[in-house]
Amino acid sequence: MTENSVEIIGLCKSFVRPEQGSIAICKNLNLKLKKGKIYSIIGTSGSGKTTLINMIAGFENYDSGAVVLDGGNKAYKVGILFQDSVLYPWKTIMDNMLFACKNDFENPKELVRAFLRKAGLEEVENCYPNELSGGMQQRIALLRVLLTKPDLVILDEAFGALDFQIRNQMQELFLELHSEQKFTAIVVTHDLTEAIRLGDEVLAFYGRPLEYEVLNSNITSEEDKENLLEKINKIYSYRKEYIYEKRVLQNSSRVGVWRESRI
Amino acid sequence: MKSYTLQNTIYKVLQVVVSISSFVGVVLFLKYIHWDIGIRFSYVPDVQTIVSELLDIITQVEFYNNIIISLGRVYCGFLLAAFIAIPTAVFIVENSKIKYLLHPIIELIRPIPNVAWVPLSIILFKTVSGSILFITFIGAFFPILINSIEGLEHVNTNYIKIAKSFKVSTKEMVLGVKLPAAASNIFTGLLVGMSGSWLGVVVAEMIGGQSGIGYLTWVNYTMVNMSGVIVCMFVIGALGAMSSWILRKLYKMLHFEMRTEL
Repeated sequence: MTENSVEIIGLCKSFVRPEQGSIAICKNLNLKLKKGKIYSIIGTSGSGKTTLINMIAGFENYDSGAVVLDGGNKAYKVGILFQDSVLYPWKTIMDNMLFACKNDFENPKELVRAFLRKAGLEEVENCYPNELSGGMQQRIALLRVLLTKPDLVILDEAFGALDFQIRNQMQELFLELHSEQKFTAIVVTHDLTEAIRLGDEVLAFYGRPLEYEVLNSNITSEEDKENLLEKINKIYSYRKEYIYEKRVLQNSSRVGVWRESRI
Repeated sequence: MKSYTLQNTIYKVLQVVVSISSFVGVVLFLKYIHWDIGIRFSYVPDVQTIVSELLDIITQVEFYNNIIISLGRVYCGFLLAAFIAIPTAVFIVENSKIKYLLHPIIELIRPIPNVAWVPLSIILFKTVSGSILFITFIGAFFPILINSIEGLEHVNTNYIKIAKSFKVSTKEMVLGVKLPAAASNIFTGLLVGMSGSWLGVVVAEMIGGQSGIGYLTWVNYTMVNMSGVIVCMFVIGALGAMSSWILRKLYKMLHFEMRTEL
């Protein structure tokens, strides 16, 4: 019984582009993600975040190394949620949910109804996705992923297109469901507030080949905040890639979405 | 709600009336001024003759028999093409080796217009009906096949990734995700294929047929009955439009119009 949900060992991946030749996305990358924890990943566009999660989810092959899920458990389930194309538009909400779980449970319809009830969405089961708002669609998509009781949940900028209020609700729902199901999660985001709020650990991805640094996401004082900002800006401004401003964190502090607020 | 639906229906009917009458109006105007530059409008029969021809033709049982024969040929050829082309497209997209094997053959045969198949089909098939059915089949097969391949190859990858994460079977992936996701392309192929079938049936009936609306058009032409030819042309147009309308309704019934991309 391993304590690691995901273990990445010496992972190498490169793409061949006609004009640029071979581009190494990652070279001898090692990473361990512990069971039941939420890992936020921040990083510039094109840093290789999506490629990495595609390799973890098994959607993309790698050149060498290994991605070991739960010590090689074949029954390990991975759930994934994207920013767009979240629900199948030709299926009703009920059919969308059933598509995810009909083979796994005895009475899937009742299970789906219970899940929808939990999110206050029981009235939409016969609607089509385009009859619902973007926020509702995303909430249902999140429920659909968690309906299958996955061991690992990957959110690929899943809440990126939502307004602040809906995003906040989604984050709350996600944390609530995480405390119930205790899955491991990878949250890829460009929003530092979201990364800190959701993640037990924040991984800052940078460079090519890919490197990362683990940041402290347990912010309890102004000093912690200053230290975190300094560290992040050191990582990114050094490479002239990305600069987080202090106001981002100040705003997040004001609206009370800090990690300590949920502890 | 009801008044809105009624208003909408009236608006749609008006659109059709205005569209057709403006076309007829232009033709009549050109006939009235005896336009003779490049195209001769002086030989176009007047509206009165066409209407009396139409009234005469719709009383004849033979006219309806010919329509039913042509409809039967078109729908048989079209349905056969759809039932073969869509699974073939799935098979090709799912097996890259098959794709490379079949691609040159498809590209070679695809550009041949279905009219060019008429002489060969007469030799290939023992009966005239068989050869006409083959022409309608060929007219629909390639548009459906090519559009289906195109649609299946460009299914949103996130749809597939999500389905894979649910560990669905290949059958569920094809029937539940890929085909519905490619529905708009497949539907375009069906619409183009339907036109191809109509084109094929009319040409084949004109050349080698002994019955059907194409044959009737040709008979009217050989008898120099231009008003009969025009009536038959309008009937072919109306039948083609009706076929497209049925396909569109079917598409809506299957809820594929719920696709946000459309």
